[in-house]
Amino acid sequence: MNIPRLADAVGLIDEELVAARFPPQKRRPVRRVLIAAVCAVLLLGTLTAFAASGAGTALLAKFRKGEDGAFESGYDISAQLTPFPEDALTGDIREVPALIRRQIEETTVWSNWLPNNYVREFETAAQALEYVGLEELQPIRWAVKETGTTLSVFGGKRGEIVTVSIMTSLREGDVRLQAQASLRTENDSADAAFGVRTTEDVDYTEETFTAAGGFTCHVIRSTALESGNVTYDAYLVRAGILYTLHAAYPPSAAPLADELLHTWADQFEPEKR
Amino acid sequence: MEDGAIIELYLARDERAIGETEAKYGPLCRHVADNLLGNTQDAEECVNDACLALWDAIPPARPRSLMAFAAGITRNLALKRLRHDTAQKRSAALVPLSELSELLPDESIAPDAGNEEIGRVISGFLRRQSPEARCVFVRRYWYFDSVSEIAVRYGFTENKVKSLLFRARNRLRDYLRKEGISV
Repeated sequence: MNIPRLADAVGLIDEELVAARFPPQKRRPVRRVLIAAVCAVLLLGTLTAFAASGAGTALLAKFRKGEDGAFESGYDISAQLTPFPEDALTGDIREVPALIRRQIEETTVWSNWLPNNYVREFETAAQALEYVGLEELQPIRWAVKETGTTLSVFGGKRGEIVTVSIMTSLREGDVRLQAQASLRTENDSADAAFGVRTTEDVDYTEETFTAAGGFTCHVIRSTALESGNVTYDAYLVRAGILYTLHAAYPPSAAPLADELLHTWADQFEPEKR
Repeated sequence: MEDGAIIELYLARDERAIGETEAKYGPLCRHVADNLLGNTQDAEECVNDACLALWDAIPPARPRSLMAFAAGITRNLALKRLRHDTAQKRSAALVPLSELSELLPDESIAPDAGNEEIGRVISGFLRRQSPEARCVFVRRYWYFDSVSEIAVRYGFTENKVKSLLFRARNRLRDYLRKEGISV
């Protein structure tokens, strides 16, 4: 086999680049905690896990920094999401395919941005929901201060909408929250999977509870980060849409954080038949 | 055990250093070797050789990152083995190696450019890239991970990974030309 010299040269790059962690996401206010929505084909048999948990999500794997050579802690979750027809999105989001097509046309190999991703900020979650215009999306109404909402649309090669996520940041006392709704369209050929990563050495525990609307809420809690804060991520699937609540808080605020968790989960109304 | 404590064991010529390194970074080193060699037994032998090489290298070396140092030695040994094993056909690294070869064929490298210098230039290039592009590039061409592995690791679609790699290669090609590495 011909091994190019460049392969040897790449092996001589600085150690710090080799040991680099996952790049921090700009919109994540919780320092050093990285959550990335993934649309990847995971050929794993998760149906048994779904059935066992009774939830619309299943824990695929978790890992801890320092174990088995891992240099970050985290876990992967698979979610049973309904692929919606693109036509079901009836709001102004229908302008996005044309915008993505323009991105694709205008991008060059020198661009420092990627096409196929449309991101828009809204003052409130309600405005973002209206923009999407999907009947099945449930608004969350609670007296927690919103600090902003980001809509992200991932498009395909022809601009078609593949996935949509709406993330709202909130704060209540010492508890910082992020509520997210994620959906996929018929243009998404991959099963939905979500990865949570942190560069710190933390462990995760899994639990479930049944919310007022009868939905199973799947909760994954982390041990304390270096900041002293602990976190949880709660997952609930309603009408084929994944709703996530992420919270980071000092242990002293745990009662408030758990109260917020249940307030959030109990809002999901049974699906209309 | 923390890296600093393991390195202290090496410096004290305490053989527990090898066991601690194997326990902590053995799986990662095996992953790199297996990516390159495509054979579990060869990868295992390569990691064993790397452990001995580490023992010989520290001291005098005192690596800042034991992980990068151990995996780097494994990578070098696996490349060396691959280079001399023409029968090796199942390497997962065939594609990334050909991508590197297309990026800068050996015959296009300036005669006076050494590998150390090229590595330094590539380090400079990577520091100018977005964190996403940098991490994806390193996972592909340093660890020789597959596109699908990188996609799962970073929560990207495979198309996004391919796009990041394509652009990074194009930018690196131009950068190497400007730096006088390619002719």
